[in-house]
Amino acid sequence: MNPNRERRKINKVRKKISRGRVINQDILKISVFFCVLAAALIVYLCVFLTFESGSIINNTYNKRSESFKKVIERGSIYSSDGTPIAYSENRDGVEVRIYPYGNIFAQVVGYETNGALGLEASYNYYLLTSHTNMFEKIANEFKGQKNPGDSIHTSLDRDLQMYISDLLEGQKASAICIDPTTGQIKATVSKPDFDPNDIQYIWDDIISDEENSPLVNRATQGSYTPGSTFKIFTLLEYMREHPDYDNYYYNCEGVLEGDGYTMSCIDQTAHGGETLEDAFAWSCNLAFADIGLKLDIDQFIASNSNLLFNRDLNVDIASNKAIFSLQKTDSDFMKMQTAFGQGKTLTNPLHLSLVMCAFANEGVLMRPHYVTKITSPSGSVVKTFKDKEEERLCTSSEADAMNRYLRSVVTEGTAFCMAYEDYTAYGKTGTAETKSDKEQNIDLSFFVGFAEKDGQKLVICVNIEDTTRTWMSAVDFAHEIFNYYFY
Amino acid sequence: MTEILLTGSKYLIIILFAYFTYISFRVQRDAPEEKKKGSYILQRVFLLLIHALAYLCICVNIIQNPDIGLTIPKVLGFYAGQLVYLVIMSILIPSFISLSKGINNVLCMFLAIGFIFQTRLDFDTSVRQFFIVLFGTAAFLVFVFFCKRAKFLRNLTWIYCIVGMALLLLVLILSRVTKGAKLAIDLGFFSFQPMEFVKILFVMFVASAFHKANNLKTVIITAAAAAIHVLIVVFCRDLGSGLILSIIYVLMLYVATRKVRYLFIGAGGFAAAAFAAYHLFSHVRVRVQVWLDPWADIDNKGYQIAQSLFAVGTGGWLGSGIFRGSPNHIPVVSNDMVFSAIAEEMGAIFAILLILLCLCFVLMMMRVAIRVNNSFYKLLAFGLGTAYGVQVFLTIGGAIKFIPLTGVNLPFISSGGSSMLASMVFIGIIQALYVISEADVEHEREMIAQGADLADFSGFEHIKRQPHHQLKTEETVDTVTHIPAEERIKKVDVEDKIRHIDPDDF
Repeated sequence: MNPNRERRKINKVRKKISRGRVINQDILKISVFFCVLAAALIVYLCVFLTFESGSIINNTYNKRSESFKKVIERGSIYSSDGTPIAYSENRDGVEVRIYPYGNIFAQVVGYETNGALGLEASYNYYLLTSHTNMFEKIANEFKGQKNPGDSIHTSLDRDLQMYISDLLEGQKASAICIDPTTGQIKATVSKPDFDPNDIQYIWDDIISDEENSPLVNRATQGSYTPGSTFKIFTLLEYMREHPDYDNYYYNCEGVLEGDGYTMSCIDQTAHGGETLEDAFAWSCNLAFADIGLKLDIDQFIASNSNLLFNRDLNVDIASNKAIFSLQKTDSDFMKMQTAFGQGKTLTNPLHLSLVMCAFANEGVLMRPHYVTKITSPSGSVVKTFKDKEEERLCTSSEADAMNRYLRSVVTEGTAFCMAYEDYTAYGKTGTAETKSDKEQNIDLSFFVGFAEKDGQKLVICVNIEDTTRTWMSAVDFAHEIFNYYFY
Repeated sequence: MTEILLTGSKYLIIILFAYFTYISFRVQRDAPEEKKKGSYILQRVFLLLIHALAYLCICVNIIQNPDIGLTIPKVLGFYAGQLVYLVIMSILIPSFISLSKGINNVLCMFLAIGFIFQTRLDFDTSVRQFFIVLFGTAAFLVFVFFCKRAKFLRNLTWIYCIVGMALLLLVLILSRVTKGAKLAIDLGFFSFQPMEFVKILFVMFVASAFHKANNLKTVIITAAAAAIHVLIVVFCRDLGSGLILSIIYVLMLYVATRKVRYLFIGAGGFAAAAFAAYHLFSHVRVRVQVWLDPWADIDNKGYQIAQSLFAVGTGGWLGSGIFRGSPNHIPVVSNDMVFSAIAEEMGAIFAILLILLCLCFVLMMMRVAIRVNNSFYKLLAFGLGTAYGVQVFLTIGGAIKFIPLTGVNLPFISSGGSSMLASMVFIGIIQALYVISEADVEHEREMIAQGADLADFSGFEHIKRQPHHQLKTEETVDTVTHIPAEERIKKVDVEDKIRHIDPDDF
């Protein structure tokens, strides 16, 4: 036979033989591939259950919490000194939720029937999760008993909260206190409020009470015209765009008339010739209107977005965004109005106090939070929420400059009442004119600021929604709170 | 007392199922069937125990909670029917007909889980489903007998292709859009989904085409036919099935031609197609967006996956117990989302074991593919195993948000008549291939005993007996020294044979 033909034939045979075997190798490879796919699914499922499912299933769209309630007795909520401010008790086989301080923690701790509110809502899953040990769990399951749920520990300062609640009683107002060095929220009061112990009986009344809307946590969910407190943002932006801001000079005549509009300072006071610091301390609207026209609006929008406008505030209870909606195409009138705090801008005490936290902490905002840790029924720590940096809102030199200005508001401006206290206070007052539902002009009063003494710092934002109910303005309330806290 | 019963059953089911899964992997080892007999019996006992315990839980819950709306006699009657079926299917049929007991036991386990969960989710549908299973079992038996005898099956290449395409065109023309896709032809009493059968036809087409030849011409022709299949399916907006068909084709192409470049071409083509689909079809974009962030549109598009994640997350590791969860909040739970329902009520441990059991099922089919000699059968078993594996991956991956939802279901467990029928046919073919592979292995064993040479175990039985001294080349040596463990020939024997070969012969 021809050797070449012979070889070709052999090669052909050889190829076919090896093919059958190698096909098997390829099938094995694909089988390994399927093993990898299955492993990926299993790993993903485990990761999901261990790390993610907790926050995911804690969602109002998950209608299963009813089924949790059948097997778990809701855990307790503690204030910073370890006093229970909400706990469950078994009364004749029925689980009853008890709030020993009644209305004092109303909106911040919230309630868990009729929907849920506050910390009860956002930590629903943790309160209905039990880290009792496995054997006890199985034993309870066999006995048909409920497992005790985990407890949450908050940073709420019980005494401070009670004091502020008393102070603001009868007002339509809110106040929030934050420790800027840790981000822990010490108190959150919103008035009018309600007693969560009676929620089932008073439910119909309070949801129909649109005049007072007691369910709204005004400190985190309010939407208010910022008034003069917005000058903080205008000032910071002006400093950023004009490094020679110390040379600013404006002559205020009390009233400014332009193309078909009239603008004035409060009570048409003529502030006269003033520097930037004077204008800020005296809260001169016309000077800030003038500054508003000198700003690069695009940059202003970007900076304000960095200062938490139009963003989720990322606190662990429900909150509303602060809105800044000035456009480059808006009229000069609108730009001027916006610059001193009228216009379409909306804010709330939480937003203002977070910005103040950054100024009080060298420009760095610590993650604002209520809950510090979660413990199992036996007291061992399940999870801690550490204090950590959220983000930097401004440079530390900007924060220093802002603090100088905020201090001058206290030493020679509208917050003069705190000038001679033992603590060093900083802040900005504000009054905004808004129209009520009945088309009446009402004044909103704001104070946002912080004070320090012996290394302790506290940021406060107080908002009085209806100043006709009291002779005190927000700054006076804040003064009282600082006095209580530091003495 | 009842709580003790329910809790005890729940944990016992998980333990039994874990052991069942372990045995299922174990029976695939290479040992004589006689040695595995005990394992098979244990599997059947566990299977019937799990089924009984689950129905015990169902009954206790029905007594405790009248709102469920079922009566004990109704459920017990249904249970008895299932029990008879499972006994016949798992014990009687394998003792009269030769088939793989391992595959059969796992199949019965899937069917039992399907029965339990369909009963729990919707009793009326589950009764219907049960009758479809009976019908499917008849089809299964027919295919077991028919396939192992019908040698002409390997030559019907173009008939598979044309029938498959015709069925798909029929869907495209006749069916109305439901759930955003054209899936079913309404036959009045039965809503027929041809896609389930087209998958099998498609695998048979590709296997027979490559059985005849694996040259470039075949590659091009089959690629064109596959593309037409996939295009029609895409026009029906049934993207999950389109994906399954393409993956089956690429993997079969790779195995048939042994060219890694086809895998890369396939992956590249897939990436391009995914890119094009993302930009051309709004519903693809929606699926991807919902996958990336279901919470953004939780009221509408993200609702299903969000509810599925709630179910899996809420169930936790040990599950809420049957009838103690709320899987009915998930849309289409009995079909695409049955995995989430199982994970919620039986627990994630059970769900993970179920994934492992599905993997075991795939490996069992791959084992058949490896052991069978004829290349048509090899490719057929491989293709069907791949189809099953990919479908399971897409369903489970979709339900736990590992990948975007594709709208395919879990074979043997999800509700759906066509799918169940097609699945039973498919497992019938696999069982037939198993019988053939056993015969092949037996044949090889005898040949070795008679001192036959390498060429007889080529995997291509039509090439017979070349004198072994002609086989020596470097490549042959190379191949034979890398024999997979599944091969029947002892490595020592092979090396012995190679030593006999004199290089000077060439």
